[in-house]
Amino acid sequence: MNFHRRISIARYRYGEQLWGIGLSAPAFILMILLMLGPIALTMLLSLTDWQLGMGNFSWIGLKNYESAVNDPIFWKSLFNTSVYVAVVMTGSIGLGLLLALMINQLSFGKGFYRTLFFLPVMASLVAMTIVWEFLLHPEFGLINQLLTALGGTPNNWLRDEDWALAALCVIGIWHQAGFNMVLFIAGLTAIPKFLYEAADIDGVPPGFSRFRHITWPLLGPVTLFIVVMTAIKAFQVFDTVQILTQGGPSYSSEVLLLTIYKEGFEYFRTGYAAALTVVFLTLVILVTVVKSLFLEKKVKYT
Amino acid sequence: MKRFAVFVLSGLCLTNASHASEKTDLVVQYAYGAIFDSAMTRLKNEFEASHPEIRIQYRAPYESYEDASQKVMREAIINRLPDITMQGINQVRPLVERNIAVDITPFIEQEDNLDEEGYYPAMLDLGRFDNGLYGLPFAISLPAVYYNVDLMEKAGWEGGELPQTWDKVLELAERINYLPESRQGIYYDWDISGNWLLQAPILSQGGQMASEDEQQVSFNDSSGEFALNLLSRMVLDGGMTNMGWDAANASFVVGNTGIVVTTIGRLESISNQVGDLFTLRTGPFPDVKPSGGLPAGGTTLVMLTKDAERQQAAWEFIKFATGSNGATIVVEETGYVPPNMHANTHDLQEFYAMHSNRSVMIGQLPLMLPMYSFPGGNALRITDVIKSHLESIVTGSRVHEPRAVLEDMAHEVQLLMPQ
Amino acid sequence: MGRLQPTLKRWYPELLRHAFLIMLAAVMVMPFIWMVLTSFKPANEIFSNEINWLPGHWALIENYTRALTNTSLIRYMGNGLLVVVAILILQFLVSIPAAYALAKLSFPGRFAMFICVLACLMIPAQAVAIPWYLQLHYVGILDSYWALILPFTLSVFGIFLLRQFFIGIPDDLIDAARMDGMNEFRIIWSVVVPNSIPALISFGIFSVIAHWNDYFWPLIVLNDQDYYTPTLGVVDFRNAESGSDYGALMAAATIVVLPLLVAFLLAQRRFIEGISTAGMK
Repeated sequence: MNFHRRISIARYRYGEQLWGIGLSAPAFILMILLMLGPIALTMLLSLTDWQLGMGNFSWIGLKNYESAVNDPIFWKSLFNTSVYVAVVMTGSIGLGLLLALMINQLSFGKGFYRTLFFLPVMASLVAMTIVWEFLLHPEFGLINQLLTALGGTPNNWLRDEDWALAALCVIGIWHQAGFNMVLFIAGLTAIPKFLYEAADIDGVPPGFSRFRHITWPLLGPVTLFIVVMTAIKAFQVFDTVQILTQGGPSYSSEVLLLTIYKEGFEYFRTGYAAALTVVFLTLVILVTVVKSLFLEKKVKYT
Repeated sequence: MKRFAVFVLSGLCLTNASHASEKTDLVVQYAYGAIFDSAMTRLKNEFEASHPEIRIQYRAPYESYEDASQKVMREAIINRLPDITMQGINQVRPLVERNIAVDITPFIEQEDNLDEEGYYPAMLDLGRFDNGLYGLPFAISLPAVYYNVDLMEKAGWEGGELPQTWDKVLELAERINYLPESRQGIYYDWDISGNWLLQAPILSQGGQMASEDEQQVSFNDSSGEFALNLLSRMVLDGGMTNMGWDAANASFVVGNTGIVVTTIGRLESISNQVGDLFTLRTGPFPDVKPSGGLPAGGTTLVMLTKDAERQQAAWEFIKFATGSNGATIVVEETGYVPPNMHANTHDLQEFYAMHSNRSVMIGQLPLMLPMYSFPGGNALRITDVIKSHLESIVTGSRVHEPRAVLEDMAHEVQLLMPQ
Repeated sequence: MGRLQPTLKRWYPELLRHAFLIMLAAVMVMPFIWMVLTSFKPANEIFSNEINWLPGHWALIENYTRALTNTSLIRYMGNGLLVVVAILILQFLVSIPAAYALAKLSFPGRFAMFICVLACLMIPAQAVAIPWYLQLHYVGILDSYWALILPFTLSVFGIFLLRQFFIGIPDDLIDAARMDGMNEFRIIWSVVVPNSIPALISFGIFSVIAHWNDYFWPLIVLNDQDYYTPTLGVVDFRNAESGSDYGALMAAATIVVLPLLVAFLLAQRRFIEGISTAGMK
C-alpha cells in the first residue's frame, strides 16, 4: 500500500471518528444530564435530610436507609410490590401464552382476536383505571351488580384490606396480557413448521409433549424478553394505585413508587425519598440482571 | 398552519405577567368547592361591587386542607403562589416555617377599629407565631351530629331532646341499623382532614394529642382509648362501613343512613341535598367533659403575595371576608360560623333563631380549643399514619382490638416526632 | 356420510377454541363497552340497583356536552398532542444520529457509549424524577410545556431499537453514498432513514403511546391546570365529580381513549409488527 493511500485511509478513519463522536454527542450529553447524572444526584441526596422548599440541610450519612429499615410502611410497600409483581407476571405471561397458543392454531379470525386482546394495552391506562373504578363501585358497579344477580355477595373491593391489592393485580394483568400475547404470537410464528412435521414422523404426540419439547424451548428468547419487560413494568406500578386506592386501606395496597411519590412530593421528605429511590433502582436492576442470567442459561441448555 | 404555529409559540412562552391596567388582580384559592363555592362567589361579587379597582380571580378549589397545604408548598417552589390562600385552621404553621406566609400585623395596626378582641382567641392563636400574626380565621366549625329524625322515630325514638351521650347515640344507631329501610345506622367522618374527628373525642375527655414540649405523643391514655372504643362501637353496633365520605353523604341524604357525624360546616350542603325528603336535625357532639373541649375546625385566610401593592389589595379582601360582610355570607351560604364573636352574639341572633340546626353550635362555642397540628417536617406523614390506623378499625380488620391499635398508632407517631 | 364425521372431528377443537376466546375477549373488552354504554346513559339508569345494559333513554348529548364543558378537555387533548409531537421530533433528532453512529461508525468510546445505553435502559423514569424536578426548578421552567417535553428528549430505548435495525442496513448502500461524496449527516437523512421506515414507525408508536398516557411525571411537575395533559385532565374531572356524574366522567374517558384507539384500529398491522420486531430483536 503506498504512502498516499495510507494517508487517505487514515484521514478517512479520522473523519469517521469525528463523525461518530459528533453524531452521538448530543445523545451522550443527554445521557449524562438526564440519566447518569441524576442517579448520582439521587444517591447524594439520599445521604441528606433535605426537605424540598427548606433552605438548609445536613449530611446524615446512612440515616435515611436506617429509617427505611425501621419503617413498617417501607416493608409493607416492598412486600406488596413483590406480591404484585409475582401475581401480575404469572397472570399476564400465562394468559398471554395461553391466548397466543390458541389464536395461533385458528384457521380464521386471528387478527380479530389479536386486536381485541391488545386493546387494553393501547388504551390510556389512566382513563381506563377510572372506568375500572366505576366497574368496582360498591353499589352501582357492574361487577357487584353481576355478582348479586348470580347470587354472590357484593363487596367494596377497593376499600377492603383483603381485596384492594387483588383488584389492582387484576387490572395489571388485564393491561399487560395482550402485549405478551402479541410477542408470543410473533415467537410462535417464527417456529419453522417442519419441526412439527418431524415430530409427527417421530411419533411425538400432539398437545402437551409437543409443546414441552418443541414449542417452549424455541420460545426461549421471546420468553426472556417478555419476562424481563413484564417484570420491569410491574415494578413500576403507580398510576392505578395512586388513582384508585392511594395505597389504602391501611397500606394494604401501598407500592414502592407510591411511597416514593408520597415521601418526595406530598410530605416533601426529599432525602428520604431519594434513599427509597436508590433501593427501588437497585431492586429493578437486580431483578433484571438475575432474570436475564437465569433465563439465558435455561435458553442455552435446550 | 400559521394559527397553529402561533398557538404553539404562545403555548411555549412562559408568560406569567399580569396585565398593566388600572385594576389590581388578586388570585385567590380556597378549599372544598362543594362547601364554599356559593359563599366565595357571593363574596367575590359583593367585594368587587364595593371595591371596583380590585378584581378577584379564583383558582380551582383544593380538594382538602391537606391538598391545600401541599399545593401551596409546591407552588412556593415554582413561584406560582396565589395572592391569598385558604388553609385549614391548623395548617398555617408549615407556611410560616417555610417563609411563605406574610405577617399581617402591620396591616392590622394601620386600621383603627379592627378589634382583635372581636376574634375568638382560640382561632386567632392558631395564626400567631413568633409575635407575628399570619392568618385570620374566616369560618369556624365544630363537629356536629346530623340526625335523620324519620328513621329515628321508626327506631323507637320518642322525640324531644336529642341524645346527649354517646351511649344513647349508639343505642339509637344500633336500632336504626336493624330497620329494613336503612343501610347503616351511623357514619363517622373519621378520615376528615387533619384527623379532626379523632382529636374531637380525645379533647372532649380532657386529653391532648401531644405533650406541652411537643416531644411526646400523649394521646395513648384513657382519652385515646375512649376515642378508639367509640369508633369500634360505631362499626360493631352502629353498622358503620368503610364507604368514604362521598358515598356516606349520598347514603345519608337519600335516607339510607340514620346518623352522620361530621363538621357543622357541611350543614347548608347537606340540607340542600336532603330537601324535603325527611326531617333533619343537628345535635351537639356528645359527652364533653368540663375539663375538656372540642377542637375548632375551620379555615383561615393567609396572605402570600409579597408585592406591596397587591398586599394592600389582599388586605382589603381579607378584612372584608373576615369582617361583618363576610360573616353574613359565611353564615348564609355554608354551615360554618363566622369567626367574629360580636357578629355571633349580636348581629346574627335573628338568623340563628330561625335556623335551629345552626344555632346548636353557638352553645358549644365556649368549648372551642385550638386544633392540634404536629410539629416538624413530618406533620403530613403523621396525619396519614393516624388515618391508616383508624382505617384498620373501620374496615373491621382490627375492630376488636382498639387498645392495641392505640398502642401501635402512638408508637409509630412517636417515631415521627422531631427528636 | 363418512366424510362428515372426520370434518366434524376436525372442527370441534376449533369451535371450542373460538368459544373460549370469545368469552375471554368479552371479559377483556368489557371495560371499554361499559365505558361507552355508560356514557350514553342518564343518571337514573346509572345509579340504579338493576343492571341496565342498553340505555333506555339516550343521554349521549348531555353527557358529552358536560364532559367537554365542565373541564377543558379539548385543551388538555391539545396539550397532549403538542407534547407528544414535540417529544417525538426531538427524540428523532437525538436518537437517529446516535443510533447510526453506534451501528455504522467506529470511534473511540463507542463501546463505552453502548454500555451506557444498555445501563440506562434499566433506569425507569420514576427513579430520576426527583433530580429532574430539581434541575428544571433550577432553570426555572417547572410547570410548563418544556417541563413536560425536555426530560424525554433522550430515549435510550429508541437508540437501542434503531441501532439494532440500522445494523441490518447493508454497508454497500452506505459505502456507495460515501463514494458519491455525501457526508455522514446526509447519509443518515437520505439513505438510512428512508430505509428504516418500519423501525421508525415502531419507535414512533411506542413513544406516542407512552407519552400520551404519561401520568407520574405530569402529576409531579404541573400545577397550572392550563398545561394539564389528558391523563391529568380526566383524573381531575374524577376528583371534582366525587362520584356523582358518572355519565359525563365515562364520556370524558371515552374521549381521551378514542384517538389512540382509532389510530390503532386503522394501523393495527404496523403497531403489532412494530412490537413484534422489537421483541424479536
